[in-house]
Parts: sequence; C-alpha cells; structure tokens
Amino acid sequence: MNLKKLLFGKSNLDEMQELALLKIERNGFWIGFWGLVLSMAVQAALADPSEGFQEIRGEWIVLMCMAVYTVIACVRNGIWDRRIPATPKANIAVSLFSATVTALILSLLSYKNYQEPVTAVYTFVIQFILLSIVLIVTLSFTTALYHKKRQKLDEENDSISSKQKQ
Amino acid sequence: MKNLKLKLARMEKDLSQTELAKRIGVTRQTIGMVESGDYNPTLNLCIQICKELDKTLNDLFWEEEDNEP
Repeated sequence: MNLKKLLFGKSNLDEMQELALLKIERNGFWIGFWGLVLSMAVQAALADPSEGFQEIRGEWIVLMCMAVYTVIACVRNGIWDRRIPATPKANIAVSLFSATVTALILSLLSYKNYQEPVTAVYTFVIQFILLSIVLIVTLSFTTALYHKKRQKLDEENDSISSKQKQ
Repeated sequence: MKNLKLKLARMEKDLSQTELAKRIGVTRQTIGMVESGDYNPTLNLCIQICKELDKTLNDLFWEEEDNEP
C-alpha cells in the first residue's frame, strides 16, 4: 500500500466517526498529560535529593511540548479556556492557586528530604512568591496575545460582513 | 430529540438505514444516531440526506415551536 496515501489519504471515517475519534483522542491527550504530571510528582517524591530532578527530565520535556503546543494552537485560533475567562482577576486567582499547590508539594518534598520544618516553610514561601510572579507574568502575556488575536479575528469577520453588505 | 420525519421519509423511499447510509457514504450507525437524535449532523450531511430522500431541509430538520406566543 502507498505510504503517502496511508498517512495523508482520504479518511475512511464519516463525520460522526471523526467526531467520536476526536473525543477519544482528546481523552487520550488529557490522560497522557495528567499521567505525566502524576508520574513526575511520584518520581520527584521518591528521587534521591542529591540527584535533583534529573530523573524526570524526559517527562518534563514531553509535558512542556504538549503544554506549549496547546497554548500556541489555542492562541492562534483565538481560543481561551472553556470556563475560566481571560481576565487579570482570573489570571491572579489561577496563578495564586497553582503557586500554592506547587509550593506546598515542593515544601513537603523539602521536609521529606531534609527533615527541617523551617527550611520547608522557607521553601514554601520562596517558591510561592517566585511561582506567583512567574505565573502572573506568563498568563498576562498569554492573555494579551489571546486578546490581540481575538480582536484580529473579529475584525476579519466584520470586514467580510461589511463587504457583503456593500 | 428523535427525528421521526427523517425515519418516515426514509421508509417512504423504502430504504433501510444501511441502504441510505451506503448511498450517502456514511455508516449505518451515523444514520441511526441522526434518527435517534444522538448525533447532530453537519449541514453538509443534512443536505446530502435531503437530496437522497428528495426532501428539503425544512421537511426533515426544522422543528416547529409548540409554545410560540
């Protein structure tokens, strides 16, 4: 069989099957995404502290590829989250929540590795502050790109409809 | 919501779900799901179904509002 036809040829599925397959692929993507996050968390918890996070480098690269691709593709298509609005208030809330969870995990790892409560508290505070800043800046930048793209797409649609009216 | 109009139109033409599906180029399952209301077809598929059954979109896919003022 022709390899080109096999990979890029006409689909054997009808539209309903395509939609069902997309849903299956979507579920597979999110199982893979959160499976990687869980796998990294477990490996980080079990890892030797002297080795740092070397054991999860591969997973981290794959996770970042998935995340970066998703963000770029969504912004290019003018899509943000289904439920969370692209507003500064939502960005701050999401950043603070994510920073709290991540800093808590890192401080627990710190306590497990070094058995020092004060170090664990410092880890939490420092990580919380750093992560909050990084997340707020990143989300603000991304939402700004999203709004710019959204505006561009809406203007394109407007110009098409105004041309049709003329 | 079940699409009884589609089912009736298909039966008027004496076509089974499999035959209609084959003519349009979709699976029998898709036709079954459209009839049972479990799948909302695209406009393209609606048009193909209408052409095959000699009906208009209004005939098969327009729902009359019962509670109009």
